[in-house]
Amino acid sequence: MQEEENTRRSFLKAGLITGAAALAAGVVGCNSDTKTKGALTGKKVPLLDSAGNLIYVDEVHMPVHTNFAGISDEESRKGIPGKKFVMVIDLAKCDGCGKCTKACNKMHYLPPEKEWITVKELQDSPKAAPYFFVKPCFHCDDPPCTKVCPVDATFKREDGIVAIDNNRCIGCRFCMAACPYSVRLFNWDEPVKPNIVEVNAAPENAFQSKKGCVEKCDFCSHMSRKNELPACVTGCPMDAIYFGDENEDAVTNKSGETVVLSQMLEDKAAYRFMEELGTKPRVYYLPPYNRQYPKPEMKNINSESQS
Amino acid sequence: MSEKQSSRRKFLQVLGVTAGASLVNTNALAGFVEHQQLLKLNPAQQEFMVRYGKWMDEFIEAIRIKKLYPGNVENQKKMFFLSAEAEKFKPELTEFMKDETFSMIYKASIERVTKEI
Repeated sequence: MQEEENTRRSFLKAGLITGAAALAAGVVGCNSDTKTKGALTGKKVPLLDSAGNLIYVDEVHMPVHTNFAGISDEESRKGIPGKKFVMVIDLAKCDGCGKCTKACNKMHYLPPEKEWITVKELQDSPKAAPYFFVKPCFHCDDPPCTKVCPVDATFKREDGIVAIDNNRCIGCRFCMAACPYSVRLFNWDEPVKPNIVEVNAAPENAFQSKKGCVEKCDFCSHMSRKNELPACVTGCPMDAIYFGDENEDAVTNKSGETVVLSQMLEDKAAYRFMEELGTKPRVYYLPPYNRQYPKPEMKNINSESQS
Repeated sequence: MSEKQSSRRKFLQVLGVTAGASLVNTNALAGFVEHQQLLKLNPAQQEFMVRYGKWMDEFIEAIRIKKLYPGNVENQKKMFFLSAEAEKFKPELTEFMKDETFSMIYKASIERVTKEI
């Protein structure tokens, strides 16, 4: 019994030292933002300094990581357990403001000329008013892009997300050719690295861009890991983009309106882009019926195409 | 001619190499891979490269059509079919890629596809 207690005590002791060492490494080794603002909390955290001494610092000085959640390669390839992410875009609400794109670019440190989510004005016939078509990656359930990748750098996760590990990508661009929706982009030049703690091209990082590699919308998987909505959803002032979990049969928009997914898809005649290809996209569209914004200017697309 | 010899001949044809001759200019691998390196592949790898080479030819054709006619549904379906075909190569490819020589030759051979994209 005593031996058992000793073992347990040794284990706890070892855990304290190891934990403290890890925290110390965080403070000493990383160029992290620290909570330098505000008063001391009085709550002390044990750390090992670079000389190996046990020290105590106020928790206000603990590092705040602005990127890289410490998700292992294995976890990021597997996905978030029990989830099956899905997006619904209500075209009746999208007024084409492009704030989803801006929010996405800000989230992923992308320059303005790069867009992981695009907004295009479409007009199906001369007698129909134009509407705005929002196009992220569709995270297909039967994705051609992952099948052609010779090194499994792009892959389908259990939670439905099609991710890219740019630490594996060899830049062959096969995935770009195979994607029927043209949502993948190639980094010909060295991307501008943001001033953040860690830059890692692995999945589930806000910044994944790498020269000679491919990138695209990742459904903000690092946000989903924290049960938060993707940037495009929270950036949409029209509440046009819903995101959620198909397993829970619920999707939510920026305002927090949560609806039953299956009912919404059925009631509003949802469809998927280029369904006939059989890629089974995880993004649904609600038709632009009863638009909730001023009707865009009618254009005579016949005369435009003739000119 | 034995089956093994026939397979080797096909492999060399795919690579643009005729027996005893040097690489010809039209060879997709010319400039990327040394002739002697190509011959280092074992028969299974050579046979794989023959099949994969044919797939690449079809993939390139589909890429060219996609560039000319992006909305061509038939071509999109063909691309979808070719992607499914590519998936069948994966178990062998993953195994062969562990071999440094194969890996080098493979990467050089796919350059001709990458150039089309």
